[in-house]
Amino acid sequence: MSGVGTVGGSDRDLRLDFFRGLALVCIFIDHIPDLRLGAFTIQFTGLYDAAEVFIFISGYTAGLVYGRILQSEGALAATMRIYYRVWQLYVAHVFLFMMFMALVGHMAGALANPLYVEEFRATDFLREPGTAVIMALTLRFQPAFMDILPLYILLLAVLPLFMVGLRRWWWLALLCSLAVWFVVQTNEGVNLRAYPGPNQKWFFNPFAWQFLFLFGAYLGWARGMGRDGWISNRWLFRGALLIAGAAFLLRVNWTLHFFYDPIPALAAKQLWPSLSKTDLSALRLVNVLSMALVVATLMPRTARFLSGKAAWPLIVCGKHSLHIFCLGILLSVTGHLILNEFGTGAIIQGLVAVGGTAIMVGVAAMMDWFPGGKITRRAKTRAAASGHGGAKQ
Amino acid sequence: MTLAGPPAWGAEAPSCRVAPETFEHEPALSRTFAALEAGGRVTIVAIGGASTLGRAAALESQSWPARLEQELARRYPKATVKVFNRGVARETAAQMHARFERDAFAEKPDLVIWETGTTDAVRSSDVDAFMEVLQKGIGELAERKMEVLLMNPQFSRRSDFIVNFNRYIVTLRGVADISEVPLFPRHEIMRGWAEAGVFNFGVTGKEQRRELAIRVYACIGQGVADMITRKPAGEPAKPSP
Repeated sequence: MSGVGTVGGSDRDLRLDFFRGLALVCIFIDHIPDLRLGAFTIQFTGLYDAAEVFIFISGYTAGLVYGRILQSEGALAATMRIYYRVWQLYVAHVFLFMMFMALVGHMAGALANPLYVEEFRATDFLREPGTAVIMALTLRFQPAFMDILPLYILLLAVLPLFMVGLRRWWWLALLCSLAVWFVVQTNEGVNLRAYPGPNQKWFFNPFAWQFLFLFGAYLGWARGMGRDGWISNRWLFRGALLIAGAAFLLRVNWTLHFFYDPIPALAAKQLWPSLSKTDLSALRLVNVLSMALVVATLMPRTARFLSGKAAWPLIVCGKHSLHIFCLGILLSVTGHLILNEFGTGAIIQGLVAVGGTAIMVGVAAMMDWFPGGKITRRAKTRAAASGHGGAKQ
Repeated sequence: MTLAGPPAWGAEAPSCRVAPETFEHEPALSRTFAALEAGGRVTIVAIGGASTLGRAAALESQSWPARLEQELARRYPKATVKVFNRGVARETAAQMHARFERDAFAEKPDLVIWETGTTDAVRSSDVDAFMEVLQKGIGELAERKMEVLLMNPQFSRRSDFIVNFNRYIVTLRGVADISEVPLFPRHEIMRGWAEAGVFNFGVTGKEQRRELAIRVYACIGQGVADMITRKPAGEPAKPSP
């Protein structure tokens, strides 16, 4: 599984696309509160959920791609490329914020309901859209579903520094990242402030989550450099299998408890306090990394399944992750709206889940087919060959 | 879809009855129940937000804690039931916890009903801190031999696009589970009413809205009374983890 990859399309590790696509579909489903299917998404497999998978794979892919650019074109070129991506994410964030404010405008009547009006006076700050806009532009305002993109933006923004560090002293770069994560675990309140205060913090604590992303980036970079041989260590795999297996069984037990209360939830009382998602607790971190190793070992990149028809819908979503992520957020809101207006019966739940996923796959497939108005290399060659393309200049 | 006339609370009552299965697996409030049965003094404190205070219904006697008191007094005429309404609008769980000493302990209640989560969701408080303060509060009440009943936020058809209630509702459920205290699932119950057409939460007229609030609070009070006075079926249903 290690080794220096060759440049070109066939080099693409479809496992990354596949699992990122899976995470995106799960994030869509998890964001609809009353969807029962939510119990059987990625979070069914351990003490983590789709957010960890998404951030880890995003880090890995970034490390792999920008690591190679760093090697061949230098630090400046790699930084430029990363910041171009940061810009795209930022624009997407602003777009989602616009949609949110539109929703607020539309729902304003609902907030005036007397059963809730007293409670919702706390949302009065929304009547000062100027401030809200500034807070959103500076990533401090993260309503309902707008908390993962700010994290992603910040993580990518620090990536160039980390990558340059990796190239010189990879162990020092990793150690710094781990140390910051550790500080969060041992000190309460190390987090960025959010709006509207006074005690509000980022839901995804960037000081904690940076480690998962940057560790992923390190692994991707090491793979690109052919330095990840240690990953195939047999004992490492056995340890990971043990952790991931135990966590999986525990989680199955919790899910059974969720659906049928008399089944006791084992160790829930002891483990619950150490499962902080905001601070990415050690249990979540170790569990998701173990699971990643187990899956990567059991499913080689040459697995036939990946080139088959069954895997294609998720792979195509994973390929266009940013667009499909934003679409997924909008679909979650729409699905939620549908469930609230038309009830939460099994049929509606099924329609929302299947319909939303189909739209995500459909749009991803369309993007794959229609490359965003850019002229593909093949089209250029064809145009040049026929003599028309060049003549128009 | 408008309300057909102003029906009396009594006439509407059966339709909003909460199915007994809803509370089937919630731990029993056995001491409060025993005190009611014994016909002695029973003191309950309701700590919560604006929906506990009940301002939407205009009169305090129409809030759900007042309805609970009326309902328990009706069912146990021999008992002297007092329900203190300690609702304060727009407070987080931490702010409510800060006034436990003055508002709850001082009355030496048998039962404390803690309605919370709404303001935390509106202000998106730190979920971990929310969980910690709930556990701390529950622990302090247990130390003083007071029983606890948690109550989650109201259901509101549309506001949860703007406010992420789910995170706090899930946390309340989890804390109730691991602390082995019962939870009155107000959110799910109100959603059930909306879906079954028991109530139309979308009414717009000022007077209609006030009527809606009066009736909803009455039904909540009745539901809580049902939950407290469940016949203990043998042992508490929930085995300890």
